[in-house]
Amino acid sequence: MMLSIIVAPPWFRGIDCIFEYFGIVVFLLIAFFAYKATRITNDKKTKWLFISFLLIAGSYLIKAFKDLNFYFPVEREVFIGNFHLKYASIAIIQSEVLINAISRILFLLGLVGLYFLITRSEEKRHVFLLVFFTTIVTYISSFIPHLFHLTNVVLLAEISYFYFKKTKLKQPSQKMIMTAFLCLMLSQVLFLTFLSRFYVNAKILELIAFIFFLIAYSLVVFGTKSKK
Amino acid sequence: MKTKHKRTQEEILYDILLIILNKSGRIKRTQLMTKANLSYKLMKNYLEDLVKKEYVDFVKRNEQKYLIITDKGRDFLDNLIKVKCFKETMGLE
Repeated sequence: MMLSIIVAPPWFRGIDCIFEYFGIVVFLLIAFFAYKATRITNDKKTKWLFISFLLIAGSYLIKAFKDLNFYFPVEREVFIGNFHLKYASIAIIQSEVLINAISRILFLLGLVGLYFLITRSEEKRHVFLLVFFTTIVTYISSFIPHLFHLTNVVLLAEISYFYFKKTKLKQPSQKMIMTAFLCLMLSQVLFLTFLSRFYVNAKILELIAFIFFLIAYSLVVFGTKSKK
Repeated sequence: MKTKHKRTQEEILYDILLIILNKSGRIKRTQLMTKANLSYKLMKNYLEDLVKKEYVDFVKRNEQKYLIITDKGRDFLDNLIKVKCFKETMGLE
C-alpha cells in the first residue's frame, strides 16, 4: 500500500486549490491570447507558447482536482443485506501515482516548451533529449519527489536568466513576467523542503507569480492600442 | 557590419497600416512606397491584399487618389500592435 503525505496544514487545505484554480484561469488567458496571435500572424512561436501554457494549465488542473479529492474524500454508503458499510471513495487516491505523474510531466513539458522558445534553440535533437529526460525525471519523481521540484528550479532559473538576457526588461510588462518566473522558482525551492510551514509560503509565492502574469497580460491586452 | 533584418509579412503589413494611420489615416501611394521602403511591385501586392480584406480603401480627393485606412483596418492594426507587444512581453522577439 502506498502511503501519501499531505504537506498542506489542515487550515490551508482547499485554499491552496483555490490558488491553483486562479493560476489555471491566468494560464488559460495567456494560452488563448497566444492562440489568437497565432491565428492573426500564423507564427509558429506563438503556437508553441499556446501549447506550453496549455500544458501548464492542464498540470495545475489535474493537481487541484487530485488535491481536493485527497483533502475531502466523498463518503459513500452501501447496504448489503443487514450490513451497512460506510467508506470513502478512494479511487482517485489509489491512482495517486499515475495522476501525479501526468500532472508532473505536463508541467515539465510546459516549462521545456518555454525554455526552447525563450532560448530560441532550434536544434531538434535537443528537444528530443529534453523530452526524454523529462520523462525520466517524472518516473523517478514517483519515488523521489524532490527531483521534480529540483528540476523545476533549474528550468525556471534558466528561463529567467535567458528572459532577462533577451529582453533587458525594457517594458513594465517584461518586468512583471520576470518577477513571475522568479516567484515561481522561489516557490519551487520552498516546495523542496516538504515542510508544512514552507508549503504555505510557497503557495503564496505561487499566487504572487500568477498575479504578476495576470498584470502583464492585462498590460498587453488592455494597455496597447493605436492612436485613433 | 550590422546586417539589416528582413521584415516578415506581418511586419510589412504593420508598417503599411501604421504609416497610413500616422498620416491622419490618408496617404498617397507614392508616399507610402517611400515611407514603407517597398518596391512598386511588392507594395501593389500588399495593397491588393489589404483592399481585398477591406483594411484599406482608395478615395479620390482634388483629382488625387488617396489610400485610407478603414475601421476594420484600424481594428486589425490594434490586434497587430497587441500581438507585437505580447511577443515582446513573452520574450519571443
